Amino acid sequence: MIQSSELRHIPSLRSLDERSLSALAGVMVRREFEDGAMVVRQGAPADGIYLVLKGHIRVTRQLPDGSNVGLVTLGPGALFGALAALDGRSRAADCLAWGRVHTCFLSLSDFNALMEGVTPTALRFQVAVLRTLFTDVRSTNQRLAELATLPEVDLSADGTLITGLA
Amino acid sequence: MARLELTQDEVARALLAHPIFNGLTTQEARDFAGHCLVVHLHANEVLFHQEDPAQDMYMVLAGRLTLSCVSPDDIPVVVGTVRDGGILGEMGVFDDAPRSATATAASDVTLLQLPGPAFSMMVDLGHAAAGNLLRWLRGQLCERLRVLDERLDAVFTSDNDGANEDSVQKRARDLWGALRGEGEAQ
Repeated sequence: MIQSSELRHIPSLRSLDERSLSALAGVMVRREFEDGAMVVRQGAPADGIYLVLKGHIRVTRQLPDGSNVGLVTLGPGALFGALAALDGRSRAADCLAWGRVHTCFLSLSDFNALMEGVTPTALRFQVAVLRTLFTDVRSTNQRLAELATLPEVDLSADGTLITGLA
Repeated sequence: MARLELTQDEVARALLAHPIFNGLTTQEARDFAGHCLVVHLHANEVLFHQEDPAQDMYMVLAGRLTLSCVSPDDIPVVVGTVRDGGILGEMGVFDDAPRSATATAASDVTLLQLPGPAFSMMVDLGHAAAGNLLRWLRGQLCERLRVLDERLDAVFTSDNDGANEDSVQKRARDLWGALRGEGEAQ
């Protein structure tokens, strides 16, 4: 069971008051993953969203030519998996545990209930999800801007984008 | 920038004419209108500058604005246009980051201005209008992120037949302006 105190210091949830955090904690379940475990697989249907409590998640995207590109590494406080949960399309990237990872999982049905709700708790949660999506847009734009100014783009052996961007 | 004195009912009617606010009652639209200001810009006036702190979001009621930003090599480029019914300035209200582009009136423009704190208050009240706006914004964002994914694929995928011979850097540079333009131009 998740305690609201575990969610209190998550930056993206800062607009949720204690009551809203308790409500959210009440519908989330703990999920833990060993190093290298596939948490979310690109192309799979969405079954819910995750919040990183401890550890790191590496996000990689499989390209049409079969190669992989490392997109970002997510740390504690990161919310991921929201895009496919929102638009009903398949997962956009692989998310792998990097070291042992502790997460909170919110099922698709509970996520949808919050996204369609108009209670203060639901709307505050929607703001948190939007904040995450806006951050994704900004970071992707930033990565492209950085790529555009690099003298060369160096892809390491495992296809991870150069250090500092991944 | 000058403030226009419209009645709450006039602003409410403007809100109800926009697809974002489909389904709101007249009273809900009036409530929302009570938190909005209506402002007017003459052509060439700047609404906000890139890197300004973001405090308000805007809906274009009439007219057209251009969005410009400084490219990675310090060249100012026009990256998008926002027309009647478009929303701009919303990103920074959510993530507290500074403006990512400069918005300039390309014609005389009338805008609905929603201060960030007023929006937060409507969220805290569980107001239906805030729900409508959030639903519309996340729909737009999902589409934008899917497009970004496809374009990132294009940047990193090299064609075996040699048809896509540009460097990753050039493809990224080519896409950068277009992506920035789609950022706040919706």
